[in-house]
Amino acid sequence: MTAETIAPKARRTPVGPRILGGVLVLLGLGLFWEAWRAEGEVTLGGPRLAPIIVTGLWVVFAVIYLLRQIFAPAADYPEPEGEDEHADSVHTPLDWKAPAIVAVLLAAYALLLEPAGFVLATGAFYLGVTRALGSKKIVREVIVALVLSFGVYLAFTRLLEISLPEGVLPL
Amino acid sequence: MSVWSDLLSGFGTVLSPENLLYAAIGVTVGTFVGVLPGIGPALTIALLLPITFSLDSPTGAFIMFAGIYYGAMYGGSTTSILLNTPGESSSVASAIEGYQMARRGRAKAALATAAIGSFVAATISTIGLTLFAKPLAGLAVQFKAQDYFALAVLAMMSVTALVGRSLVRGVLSLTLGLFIGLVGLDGLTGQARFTFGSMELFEGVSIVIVIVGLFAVGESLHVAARLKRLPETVAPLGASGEKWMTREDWRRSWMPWLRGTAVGFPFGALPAGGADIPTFLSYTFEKHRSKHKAEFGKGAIEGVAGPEAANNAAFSGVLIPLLTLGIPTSATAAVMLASFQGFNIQPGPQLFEKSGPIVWALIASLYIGNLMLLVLNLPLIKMWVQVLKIPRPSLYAGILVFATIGVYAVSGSVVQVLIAYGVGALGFVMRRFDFPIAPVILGVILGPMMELQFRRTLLVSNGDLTVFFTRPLTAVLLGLAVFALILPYLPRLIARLRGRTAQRLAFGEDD
Repeated sequence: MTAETIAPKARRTPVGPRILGGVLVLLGLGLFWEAWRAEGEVTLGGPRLAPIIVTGLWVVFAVIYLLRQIFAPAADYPEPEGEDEHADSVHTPLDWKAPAIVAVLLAAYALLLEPAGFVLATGAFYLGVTRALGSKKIVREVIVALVLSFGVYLAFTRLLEISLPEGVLPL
Repeated sequence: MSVWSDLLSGFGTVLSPENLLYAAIGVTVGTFVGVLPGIGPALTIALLLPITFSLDSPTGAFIMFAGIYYGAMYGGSTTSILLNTPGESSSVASAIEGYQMARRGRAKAALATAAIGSFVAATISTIGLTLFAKPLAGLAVQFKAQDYFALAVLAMMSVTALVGRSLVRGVLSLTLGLFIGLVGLDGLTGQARFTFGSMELFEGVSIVIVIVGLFAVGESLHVAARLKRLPETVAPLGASGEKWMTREDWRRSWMPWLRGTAVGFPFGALPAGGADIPTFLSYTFEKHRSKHKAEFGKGAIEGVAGPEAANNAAFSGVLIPLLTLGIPTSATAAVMLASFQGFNIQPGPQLFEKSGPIVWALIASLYIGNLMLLVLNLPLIKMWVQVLKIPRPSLYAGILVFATIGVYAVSGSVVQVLIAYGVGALGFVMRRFDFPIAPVILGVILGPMMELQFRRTLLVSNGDLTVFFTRPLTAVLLGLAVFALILPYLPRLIARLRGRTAQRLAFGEDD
């Protein structure tokens, strides 16, 4: 790493915060509109005041945030000093692949939980996530997946009497 | 009845074999989950909620809870020291010096000063809780709706303004929390707000779901995004025959323990911000007055002893507004409140009259759990180190599974699980862009309370807004809330008046 690459001007201003600011403003406006057009009169003691205040505050501060990102980005997210390998900020490139896979696996897990049952869904989910997070020891993870899914199922349903979806396996 | 006979009867309840077993299970499970990197006390309790709900007696559940509460704290300090991954912003201060000590082969001294300091602080502040809780509950009976409103405003403002680096991001976090708190049917009129036509949202989004989503799912996604940049090495413990603390260590630790307690307990007890602020105050104070200033940043034992004591003291202090006013001022207290409500127990001024025996059993078990932890924690340290060595992929896959079970077991609905995941995605974005998490939690839990008290006040005063300013207590509390908002800018303002520039004052979530 040479001095030039760490010098502030050599790096581009990260674009992430600006996108986030834009999304926050749009989302805030949408929610404000939802609060504004709700039924009933707006009164001090009524149920309509709080939603309007909260979403209004959201819009105001989202606009401030967005303007700061456009005109003074360094104020909110200063350049990291030195080279800390564990440092994490908007300046480090986002490794989006692993979290995206985990997010998809989570959605599948929730949707399969009831139809397939806790044991099958959990075993498959565990294997998927460990793999997405870079585990190479497949045999070990299969054993853990079996122990975890059966063990937790039996512990919760038999010992704690909390019901979990049975699904297709005859348990 | 005096406080002591109340407490004695509490001990009487706790010291039965069955309840001692609950306490032992609580501290062990609490420490185990608390040790897991990135998991703080709030999430530990949220994940273990379904287990306590399955117990028949609320007394047993609360005794287990007290154990989990302190266990998670002890476990968290172990992780901060050995792995430098604080689970909550209140353990950031001790992670700074503790990890440096561990890297220099002084892990045992750091762990011991943290454990013994936590014990000292927790014991002193539990005595404080014992003495003050009931009289304060007596005072709190006189609180009116507008005072509760002002208290909620104060708690929110101080956390938003003082935690984290940017007021704008803090307020955005707070509005997100307030928004989540609004979702559902309005408590007074039954009008649907932000339900978007979905029946599932009528009951609102539970705080447990928000906490599991933000902390468990959010943290897991955040870890997934930084797999290559995580600290991996657990600092070595040192030889097993070695002494935990030398005479010199004791000499340098005992004052910081007491000072940390003195800062932590009142700050925790004030409805203004939980444990983050006192830990940083303690750290800064020890740093300024230490004779070993040069050691700070490189592993000074005072920098572990003080903040750890402050952290634990504040955690017991937080129970005072929680039990006497029903106002949670930290994420952990918010989950505790949820669990109280799960057993149909409403914390507040009437708690000591209505559920006296349970509360005193809870307080007594704080003493017992604390003692158990001191006895268990250091001898079992090798076991906790093994927990730290669980590979990251297995660990986070497991956390996600238990987060899912937690939400499913509490709600019985897949839609709620999906909502928790959605909140988790928000948590991921917030971590990425450095938005503080604590204001979201406080917004969710205090927002509805604040609105309710505001509307009650207006109902009583026939819509007259001046009642918020004419009652002295209310006016003082609201004034303090405004002061909390200005406080971070005070050093800069003063410096500008003197013609110099200075840094913004901030506590927590700041390396």
